[in-house]
Amino acid sequence: MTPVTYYKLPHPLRDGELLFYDADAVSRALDDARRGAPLARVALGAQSPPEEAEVRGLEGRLGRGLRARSRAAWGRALWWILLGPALSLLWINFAPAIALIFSPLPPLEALVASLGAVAGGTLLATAVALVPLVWAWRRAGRPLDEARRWGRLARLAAGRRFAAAPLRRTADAELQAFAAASAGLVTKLRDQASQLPERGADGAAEMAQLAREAYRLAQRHRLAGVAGTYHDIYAGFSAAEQRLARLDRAGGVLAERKVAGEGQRVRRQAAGALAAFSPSGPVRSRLLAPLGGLLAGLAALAGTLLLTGMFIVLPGQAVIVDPPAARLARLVPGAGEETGEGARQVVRTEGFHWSWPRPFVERHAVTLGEQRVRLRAIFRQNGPNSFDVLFVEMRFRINNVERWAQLDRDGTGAAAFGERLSTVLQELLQQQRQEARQALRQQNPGLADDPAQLGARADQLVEQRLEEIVRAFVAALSESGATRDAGVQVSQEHQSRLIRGLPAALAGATPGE
Amino acid sequence: MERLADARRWEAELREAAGGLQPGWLGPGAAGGAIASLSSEASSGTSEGTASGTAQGPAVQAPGGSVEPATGWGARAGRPIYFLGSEGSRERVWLQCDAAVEGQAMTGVAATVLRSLTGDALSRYRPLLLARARIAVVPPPMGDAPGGSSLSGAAGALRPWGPGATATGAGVPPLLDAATLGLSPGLVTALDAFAPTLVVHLQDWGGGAGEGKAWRAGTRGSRDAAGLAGAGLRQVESFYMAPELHERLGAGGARRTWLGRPTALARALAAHPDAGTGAHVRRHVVQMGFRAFDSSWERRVMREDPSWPAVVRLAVGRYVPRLEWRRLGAGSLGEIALQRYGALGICGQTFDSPPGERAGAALALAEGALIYRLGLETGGPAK
Repeated sequence: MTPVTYYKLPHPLRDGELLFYDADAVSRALDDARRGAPLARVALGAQSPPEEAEVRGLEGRLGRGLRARSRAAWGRALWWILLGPALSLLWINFAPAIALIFSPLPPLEALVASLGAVAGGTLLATAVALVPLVWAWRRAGRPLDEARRWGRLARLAAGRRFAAAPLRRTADAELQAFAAASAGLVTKLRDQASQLPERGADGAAEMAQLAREAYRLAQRHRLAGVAGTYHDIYAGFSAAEQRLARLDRAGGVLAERKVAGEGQRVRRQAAGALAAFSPSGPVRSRLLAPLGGLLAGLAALAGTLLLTGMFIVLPGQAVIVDPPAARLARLVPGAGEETGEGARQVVRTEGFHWSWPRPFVERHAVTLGEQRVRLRAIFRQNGPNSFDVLFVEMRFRINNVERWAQLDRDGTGAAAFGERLSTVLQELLQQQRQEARQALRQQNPGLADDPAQLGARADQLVEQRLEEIVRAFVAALSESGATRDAGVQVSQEHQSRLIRGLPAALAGATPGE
Repeated sequence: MERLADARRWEAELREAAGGLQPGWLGPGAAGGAIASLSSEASSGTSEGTASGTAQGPAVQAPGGSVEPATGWGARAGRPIYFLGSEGSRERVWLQCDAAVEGQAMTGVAATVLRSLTGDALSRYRPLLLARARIAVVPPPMGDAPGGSSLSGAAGALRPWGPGATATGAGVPPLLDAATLGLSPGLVTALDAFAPTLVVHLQDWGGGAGEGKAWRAGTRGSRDAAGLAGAGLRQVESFYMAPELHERLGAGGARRTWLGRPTALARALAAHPDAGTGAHVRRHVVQMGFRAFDSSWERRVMREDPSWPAVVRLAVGRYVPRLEWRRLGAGSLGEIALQRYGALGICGQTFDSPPGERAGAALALAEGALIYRLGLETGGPAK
């Protein structure tokens, strides 16, 4: 068991006395005590031991200081905990924009835009999306541990067990020897401290040197707590000397004032560091630190939600929003049907709007103006990897966005619509070929024995009527209830072209077709 | 007389081996190198007549300052200790040279330092140094004689100190030698009386391979050093750090933010007055043309050295004992000096390479430590 030891010594920078202690040793002793080790306290003085009231005062401040540290750590932990989701949201929503950097490399662009989903599916995309969250929560881990540790120590320091631990107060010969040896140094330090703003870098250098000597002296007298404090003063003044020297070198009309200001600041800092050893005085409670961390984190999260959830509807556009309830309704059959929450929402009002961002909500804009769609239908196969393909370009316009929203789930509605029409066109062409064969067979029964000749002549007939067939197809579409159900109006205008000898990959043929 | 003559003979051997060292050891930059200047002094005989050996140790009177004999506790330390500079100086430098396998290089280093500080050749730093500091130079132990205080231990008579039999237990020399290399109870007494403010511990783990020296065959030291053959000088530093800063350093805290700005940890280290000295010293070693321990060796040591977890990396080739190990105490001579006297400790470790290079690197480290710690030359910011 290492007792918590206090050393009563003169204040190095001003009149009065301090109770020095080794903060690290105290926290270790408290940690040990928390695990069941006995607690003991020793208060040493050079001439006479410190009063018990002084020790209690210092311990009260120590407990409050530990509580304040715990609160500050809670504040930092809460900040990082809430920042994690905010960063992930930003990453998920801005990945497509970031991916534009890689536009010269389309596969890489697709990989980044989809957060890796194109290569590793939903699992990889989820993992990639959560990277910022994991990073921030790992950062939160350390302050969280600290907050809990300092909190436990603060409770122990403020508790009855610590107050009731035996306190031995005595005058110590080693401390007396140190006090005698360091008396001259302390006097010089006090003198220098009062002149620091005027003396600038030289004063700081001298104080650093004096503090270093006091540190070494304390170390030689085995006074770890005192040595550590003097070393902190030494390091502080040494750094201040460099800053002051830089200010001196920089010169300028305000140099003198800057040096004086810096000198005062350094003196205040040193006095502030030593205030922890004073038996009386206020302790910065940091009462609002957890709240501050929480509010800052919430503000970051709210700002991110606002930024990532905002969207704009331009003239001639509508935005289809797929809300969480609708997605849930599709995932869980029956959910939301009664309340109608399974439907997608359409926003047509021009201007800025807000909805939940990805990944909670999927949304995309559709244009309400005229759009083009290209149909592709295989007319016939000429060889193992050679197809004659009919391409038709036609125009359509969305006239019922709510119905279109059922078809267009993720912004690929036009492509899906084109695929559907292509299938219908291909079926129509094949039907026309069959009918032409039958008609030829009836007109000329001799051709029935020569299927190749029959097929070739039938295809020739269909090919001659191809434009007529396409026109009829487009006319039928514009009148069709199917296109009305899809919420579109197809224009009669179209262009068609038969391209011969396309390979399967370009013809869109599936194996065995 | 005999000791100095032997030292000169070693220096000549070193000179041959190294082809002349480059760093001007605390002398004018154009002095032609440490060994060269030492030899020229030896030939001119400027201090030859002033050296004398006594039963208590050697004594040298030099123009630049007094070199006192190792009397009393110095003799009890079991090795000679040479004192230079003014007695009342605030700064007290303990410069100790130790070798794990063979002491030629380190003896050359000690002899060079002594000659440089006691010679009358033109020197930029010597007067300043001797006025500002009290310096104790401890050459490596040698010879079979009890309390051997001879500089003249010929190579064949030199015995490995400690680690050859006990210290490492590993494939490479340890970062922390647990003060087994060169420290004895007598030397601790001497240290107590001297109360250093700066301890420079030069450890030579190299040498001794394949030269038919029967006494070295099979010693651990030679095998260990071969594991780091070609590695440059490694620094293990001992200075006080606030426990919180030390813990953060040990936890591997980042030094740069994503934006490339220094973190709070890096700023604290940069502002630390003692950490800056080590950075200056390393830069000085490199400027003098010697190899410093680099990251490729670091990766290798990480795998092979069981003492690796005991240290934290300050920078490439610069290490400081971890807080937990510091609390255990006595990790090295520097750690002992820090704990007992609050001294800054810099341990320079050299490994298997030509003796001239080992000696030169060690000299450069000692020179850098003295120059920057005592403010003999204003260095730029540590890099």
